[in-house]
Amino acid sequence: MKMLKLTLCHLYPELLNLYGDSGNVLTLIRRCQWRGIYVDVINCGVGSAADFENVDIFFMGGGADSNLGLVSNDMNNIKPQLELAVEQGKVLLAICGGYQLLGKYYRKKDTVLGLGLLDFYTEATDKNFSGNIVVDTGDYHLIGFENHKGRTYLNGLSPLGQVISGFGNNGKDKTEGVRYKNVIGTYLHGPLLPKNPKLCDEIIKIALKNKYGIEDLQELDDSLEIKARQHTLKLINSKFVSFA
Amino acid sequence: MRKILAIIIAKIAIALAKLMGHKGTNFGGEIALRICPDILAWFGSQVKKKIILVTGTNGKTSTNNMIYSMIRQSGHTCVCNKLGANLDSGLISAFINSCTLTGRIDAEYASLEVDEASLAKVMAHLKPDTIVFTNLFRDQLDGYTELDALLDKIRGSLEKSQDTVLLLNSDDPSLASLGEDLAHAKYYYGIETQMDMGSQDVDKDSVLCKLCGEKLDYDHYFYSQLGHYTCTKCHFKRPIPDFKAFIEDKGQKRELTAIGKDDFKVVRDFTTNDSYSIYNTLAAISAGGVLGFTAESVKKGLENYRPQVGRMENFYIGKPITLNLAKNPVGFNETLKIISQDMSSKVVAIGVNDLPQDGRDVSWLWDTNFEILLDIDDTIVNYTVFGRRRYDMALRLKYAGIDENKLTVAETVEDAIDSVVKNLSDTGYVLLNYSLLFETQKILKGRNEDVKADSVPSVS
Ligand SMILES: [Zn+2]
Repeated sequence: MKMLKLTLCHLYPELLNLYGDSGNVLTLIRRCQWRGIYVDVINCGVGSAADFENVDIFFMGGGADSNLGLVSNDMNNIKPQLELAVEQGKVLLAICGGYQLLGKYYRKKDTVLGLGLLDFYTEATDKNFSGNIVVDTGDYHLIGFENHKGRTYLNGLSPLGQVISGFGNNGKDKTEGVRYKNVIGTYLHGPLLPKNPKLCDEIIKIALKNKYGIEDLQELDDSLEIKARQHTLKLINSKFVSFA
Repeated sequence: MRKILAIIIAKIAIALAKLMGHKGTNFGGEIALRICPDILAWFGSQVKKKIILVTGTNGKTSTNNMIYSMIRQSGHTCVCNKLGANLDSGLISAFINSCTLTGRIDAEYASLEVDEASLAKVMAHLKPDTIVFTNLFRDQLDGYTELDALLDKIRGSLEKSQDTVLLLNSDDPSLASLGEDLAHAKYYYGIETQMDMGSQDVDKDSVLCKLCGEKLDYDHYFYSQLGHYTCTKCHFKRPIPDFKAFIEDKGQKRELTAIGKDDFKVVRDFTTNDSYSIYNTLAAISAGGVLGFTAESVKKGLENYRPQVGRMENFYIGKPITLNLAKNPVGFNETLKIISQDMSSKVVAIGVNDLPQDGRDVSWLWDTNFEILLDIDDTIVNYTVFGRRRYDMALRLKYAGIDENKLTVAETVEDAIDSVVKNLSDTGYVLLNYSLLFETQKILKGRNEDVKADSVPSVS
């Protein structure tokens, strides 16, 4: 059998680097590696617009507001390539600040940023939504930590899941994140993927299917991940343990 | 009357807490604050000479305790929150511990460590003569979300206190930008020698100029964001320090020479090459200079300084065991670097809690370079994780690439110490964040066999 290889593009790793989000990249790499899938990581910073044709997975982390402006400006240059990739069904995982930038706009006082890749929008407020969060995607539960002053409104788009505990997109409509084709936007840090191996594997599956038409993914020993999920859910609320 | 009532009740509360085996570092102060909200201002007004605040992300406790020691060596009385309880309640507790029942403080100085996010709150009550800043790193804790917001908050409270003298680290661009904006009397300290601090961090790649937003260009880089930097776009650059440090490698030790104005010169040796203690010592020496102490009493103060609980504290339980407090990626990375230089066989125990004083978000574990341990993985016989977030730590180590068979998840602190003691090795290391410190230290102390194993001056 030939060697399977996926290409992961880490967008603006220098500027979007808050809250351990690089742990998501590490988790994607490891869970591929443990299955004998090689991952090539391309770091794409400001002004280094790369050739995205061979990219299978895009990743964007969260960043300080002062860095989002730089990212937003630069991202406009790569918008056509990103749009194409999204329509081709490639995976784009964006966390917190990265998530907000994908929308129509992110407004904070006089500053309005946004790539307009998707139709949702975000308004900044003074009050922080901060704490552990549990989200039901319908197939499984996501666990994470949210910490954001932005309130995101989906404008008819599908959420990533329903909030079971925590705030989510805006603290009102119980939605969390966005899901459009294989674009996943979310406020969940933690980082997201280590304690949510099912989501990580779903991303790998999509990428393998897109590139090689392969449908099935080798099982891994996730006993430590499951224990970590049980333990964290118990810290949040003991009645959530069954969601592990 | 309300003040006296507050003090009596708080003193009783502190005594009771001590009886029950708690350190009671915040408890008494919290009660007093509730009964009498302006009690801190009242205590502060009784300090006869100077109030010194020490703040920053890392190194506050060591720096503050060194300054306290210098003040004492110069023959003055001084109130100090030595154990590092640095919220307003902790400061009040420090005053309550050294006042009479009628609330009289007989102190010429107060040297107080203040949590960087609480500085504004504290300054609403206390008017400091001098503020010593150690560094301002990006911290991942709740409420510290962004460095920019924190800097704005600090700037705001300093603007209301124009007479306060500022002592700043010129190697830290965040602090230098703070100094740039303020008209206060300012002094800078910095390391002139372009020494290698063995840092593998890449933080410098993302340090932006606080004035114009351009990336900073580093001529020399120490660690985290500390170094010799210039903005490529505007005039912003590292200020020339008033207190200059020169470092000379002398075999196993490093010698720090700090030079200020008018023959002010202090020389100090380091047994370990960790950068923290060098910066903390330099900050304290410079503070001594700013406060007008002689080089002689500054030197004596440093000699009499003993590191506090959990700062590379040594125990002996069948083997030497080192306890170190680290609360964020920079602190952990520095400690991991020290461990990675030890080639003896060892158990490494890591404890992580997520209580409010630790920060409820533990995602910073993934910004910490635990991969450093992989370089010496063959010398590590067992990794033990403990604390409320032990499973987050376990996953972090799994994804760093350690062998899961070497991993022990300990349910209690006692179990964690057992694991360090019982796994066959030459040495043991216990790293943990704040709220685990006192319980762990108590257990280690209780089981300690060797009186010779005393603290060595080292890391904070
Ligand atoms: Zn500049």
